[in-house]
Amino acid sequence: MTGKFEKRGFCQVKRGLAWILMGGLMAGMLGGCQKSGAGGETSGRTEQIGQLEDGQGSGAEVSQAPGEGKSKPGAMGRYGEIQVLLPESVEGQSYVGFLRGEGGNMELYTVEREGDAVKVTDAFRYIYREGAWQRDESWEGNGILKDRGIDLANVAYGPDGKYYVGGTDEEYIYHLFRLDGDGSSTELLEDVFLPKDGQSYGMHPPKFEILEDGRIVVFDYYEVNVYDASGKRMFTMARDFSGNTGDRRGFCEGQEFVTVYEGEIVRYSLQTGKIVETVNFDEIKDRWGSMELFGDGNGGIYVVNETGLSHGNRGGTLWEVLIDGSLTRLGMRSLNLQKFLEGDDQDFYGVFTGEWEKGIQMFHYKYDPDLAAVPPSALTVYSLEDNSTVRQAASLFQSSHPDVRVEVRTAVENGGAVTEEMIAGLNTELLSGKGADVLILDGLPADSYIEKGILMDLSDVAGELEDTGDMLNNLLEGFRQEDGAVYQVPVRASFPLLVGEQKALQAYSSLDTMAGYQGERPLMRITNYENLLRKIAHLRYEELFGAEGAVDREMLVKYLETVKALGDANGSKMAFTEDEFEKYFVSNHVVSDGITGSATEYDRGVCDSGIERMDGYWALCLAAEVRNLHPESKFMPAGKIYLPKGMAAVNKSTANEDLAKEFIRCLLSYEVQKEDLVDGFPVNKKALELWVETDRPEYSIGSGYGDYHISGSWPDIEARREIAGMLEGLTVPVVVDETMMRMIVEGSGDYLEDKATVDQAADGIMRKLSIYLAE
Amino acid sequence: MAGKERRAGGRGRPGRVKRRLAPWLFLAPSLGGVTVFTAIPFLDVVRRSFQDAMGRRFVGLENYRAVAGNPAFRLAAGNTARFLLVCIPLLMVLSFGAALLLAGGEDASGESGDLEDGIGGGRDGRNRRQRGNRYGIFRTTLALPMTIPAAGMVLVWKILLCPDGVLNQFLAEATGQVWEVDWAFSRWAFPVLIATYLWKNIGYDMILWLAGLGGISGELYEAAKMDGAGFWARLRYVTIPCLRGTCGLVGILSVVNSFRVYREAYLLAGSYPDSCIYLIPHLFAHWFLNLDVQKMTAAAVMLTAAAVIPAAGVWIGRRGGKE
Repeated sequence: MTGKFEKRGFCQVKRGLAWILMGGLMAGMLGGCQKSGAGGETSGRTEQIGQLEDGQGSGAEVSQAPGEGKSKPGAMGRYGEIQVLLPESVEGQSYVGFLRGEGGNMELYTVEREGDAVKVTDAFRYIYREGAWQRDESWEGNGILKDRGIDLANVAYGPDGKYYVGGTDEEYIYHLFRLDGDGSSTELLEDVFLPKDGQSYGMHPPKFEILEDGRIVVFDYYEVNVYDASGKRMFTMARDFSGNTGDRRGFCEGQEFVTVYEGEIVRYSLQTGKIVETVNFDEIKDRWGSMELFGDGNGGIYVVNETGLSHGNRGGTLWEVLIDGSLTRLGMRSLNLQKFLEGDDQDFYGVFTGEWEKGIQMFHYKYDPDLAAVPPSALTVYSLEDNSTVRQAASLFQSSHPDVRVEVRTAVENGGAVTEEMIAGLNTELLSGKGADVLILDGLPADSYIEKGILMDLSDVAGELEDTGDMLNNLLEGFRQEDGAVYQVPVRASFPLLVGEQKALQAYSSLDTMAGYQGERPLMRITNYENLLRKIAHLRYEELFGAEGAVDREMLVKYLETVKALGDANGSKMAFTEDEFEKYFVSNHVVSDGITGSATEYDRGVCDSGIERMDGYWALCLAAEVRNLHPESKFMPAGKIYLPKGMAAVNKSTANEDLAKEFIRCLLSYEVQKEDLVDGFPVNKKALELWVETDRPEYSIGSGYGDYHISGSWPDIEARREIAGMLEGLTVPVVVDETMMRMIVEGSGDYLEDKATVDQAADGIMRKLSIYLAE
Repeated sequence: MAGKERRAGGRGRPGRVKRRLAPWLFLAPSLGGVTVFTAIPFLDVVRRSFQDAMGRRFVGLENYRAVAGNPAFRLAAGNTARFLLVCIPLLMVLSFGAALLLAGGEDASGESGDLEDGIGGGRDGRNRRQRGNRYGIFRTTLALPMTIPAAGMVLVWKILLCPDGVLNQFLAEATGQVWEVDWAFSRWAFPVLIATYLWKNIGYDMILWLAGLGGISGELYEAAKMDGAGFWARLRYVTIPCLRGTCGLVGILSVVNSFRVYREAYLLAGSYPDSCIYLIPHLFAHWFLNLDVQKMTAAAVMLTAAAVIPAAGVWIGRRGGKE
């Protein structure tokens, strides 16, 4: 009996357990669907934010999932950013170096460089003592450098207590000196910097360091060389070149050298020159702007770039983010990070410059336990691809709204491509009434969003801008709906500029005149057919696509025949071979608007006209020079078309309507628009005026091909005014539907290669287009 | 006696309840999943099909009218139906044939040596297993395409079918003429897609058929043989009637798998392929990219109705017949 009872009891227990497990399973399954507190939005930062190892931090979590509006109560403490005032005399001077010198004081070195970089100029030293900068009038360096005819480029303070300076002479040869402290100096590594056989220029190191044993570590672009005191090269350590000739990523600490090689942070032994450790850190890959590396004195590494200041311990795999770049000037695109130093009180100092290492600014980063770990409010900005003007505005907005965190979410990271899944992901958020507060519509189905009522009417913001006269209204009008609503505004604009003689330029007035052009040379330069198709689609957008953005068969045939006629005339092909790359100075690279600068091709006599995409005055340098060389030529815009960039809109479902609209105003404000971030002309009138007035004598650009060479300097004010005037007259925004463009490109190949008739090609394209348009 | 009856009755009621409850308890997990993840969302789909894209306004039948009049929908629905009508019978017949060949082959390798004796000709399990092992290579070969990821498979198809691909080169060699047919981007795309689908799914269906064939009692074949039935007679009067259940299962799974062919179509010819292989999933993907949710929901309801109403009709008809 007892046995049976026990057995029955045991069975009941088993049954009960089974029920509990089943219940738990169901609860787990259903619970898995619940939205976590971190929000449903993705692309959050993955680094674990930990307590500062020296006990400085409060242990507050500094990270926050994107889109999370409020920080948790009690999550307090983060690094605050305070601007450090520099002496007035620094204004207008160019940055040379920022270091800890004699007595551990912070020192700032500048030069008074004007225009020509090779000219020998005065150098200055400023010392930071007791919270204030003072110019060191007694610094011997300037006198020594001037006596030797050297323009200061680098400064270092050696472990031997001596200063080392480097710079170029008037022959553009680099020299390195040790300042002996008694008014004399000793030149070091004399032969190292001389031009090698067959080279025009010698090495110009962006940085050098002095080791305790007297060895000298000299940075070159792709490598770092270690020399002994006698000037003999001991070994070479490879490093990545960022593309910036001022790339100084790397530091020596003890018997180790840390730099970036093959996309990873590597630690070299300064005894052997061999890599002893490789450290992975994704945040250094494909990041905009400059980056600094420095040591913590205990083998740990600090990395600072636009994402912020991160720290990794020796042998560790986790990186702690100490300073969030998006909350500070580190994320500001108009500033170039020059140097970051650790202070005496677990604080940090950063020195930034504007263009040409001018406009020096310094900021102090100090932990503030009273600051919320994350600003209590969040404004999310979504774009498919990175946009410098948006980043700039986010940073400025952040600094003027310390209680708001501006989260810029970019779908494409690390140089990837836009995929349909990215758009589908955003749509899922929008459908559920969520999604980012501000949307940058480039590459997104803007018309569909407008039709579905996703976007907020910004006519009040546009009206304000029109009333104050701040906005170039001609660029705004193209986005005004029939009912007066404005759902999107461009933050930058560019346009195709034609250069050539009157007869050639007139040919751009229609597809027929382009196809029928009879000149001494082809109308346009040789290029691959995809670029040619895209270029003509943009230049003749109104004629080809009409007001509705659709294309009919008759027009499609005319367009294809025009492209074929132009291609036959200049020898365009679907794809070029490597031999042809050099022979015709072409490539198979495709750009979305098909405009590959061709003013120089006109100058070379290859074609009767050139086309340049004007997205800043830098793009005018060579074109203006070409026009100077050909007085018979002139500039002309391609009709009234312009290419808008950074189409900003506000999500109608936003809970932060006021903030979002304020961000739009910030995007279009003078403060943001005045910066030239090489992504288009400003749409702000005052900013455009500043651009027109700004002369950049330092700027020059050259282009060469075989025996041909041309160089151009910053365009003069008349040319700048002329271009600005053209921009103010453009009224037709061109956003070619990429899906339609791809169909045309794919469907026209056989015709352009003479394997099919134009009717066959047009029929094939129309079959697909009709499905697309019918959807 | 009364006490016994009471006791029996007392034990019997919970027992009946348990018996009635048992199937539902077993069904509960999957039924719960289907309810939560399919049925309730579908009800929401039905609701949204009567609203505008963002679900803010009731629009009546406007979405249904828009979808029904949409040429892209008609094309996609027509292509999908054409694909199903061509593919499903082909797949079922070919996979059944392959299963028969393998089943027959396994037995044929033994005593009789021909396919005819193969159907139900197995004498004992041990011999069958030994022979079956030898034919395992064929089963594996036919089932292998199931295990190959679609992306990798499509890459091979592209190499074969592009204008300067292997197929055109082979045809050029064979005919002495230049072949530059773009098989995946022309009218040939439909047969190419069918071939892809068949190649991928024949093995899977064949295994299902083999399982069905294995479930047929050998005694039935033996009895049929004693009655003088030949291969075709055994196939018609024993094999096919015994495989009715399997046939239904294979048919349903084939239809379900056919919807997955979009993956191959997309990888082979992109989001806008030749109009002959433009399928419903293409259209739905584009509608979702453009946030045309109102069209998607209306179309989904229409397609479900198109599939469910005839099936329900057949089911009701059968039940009526039985009664």
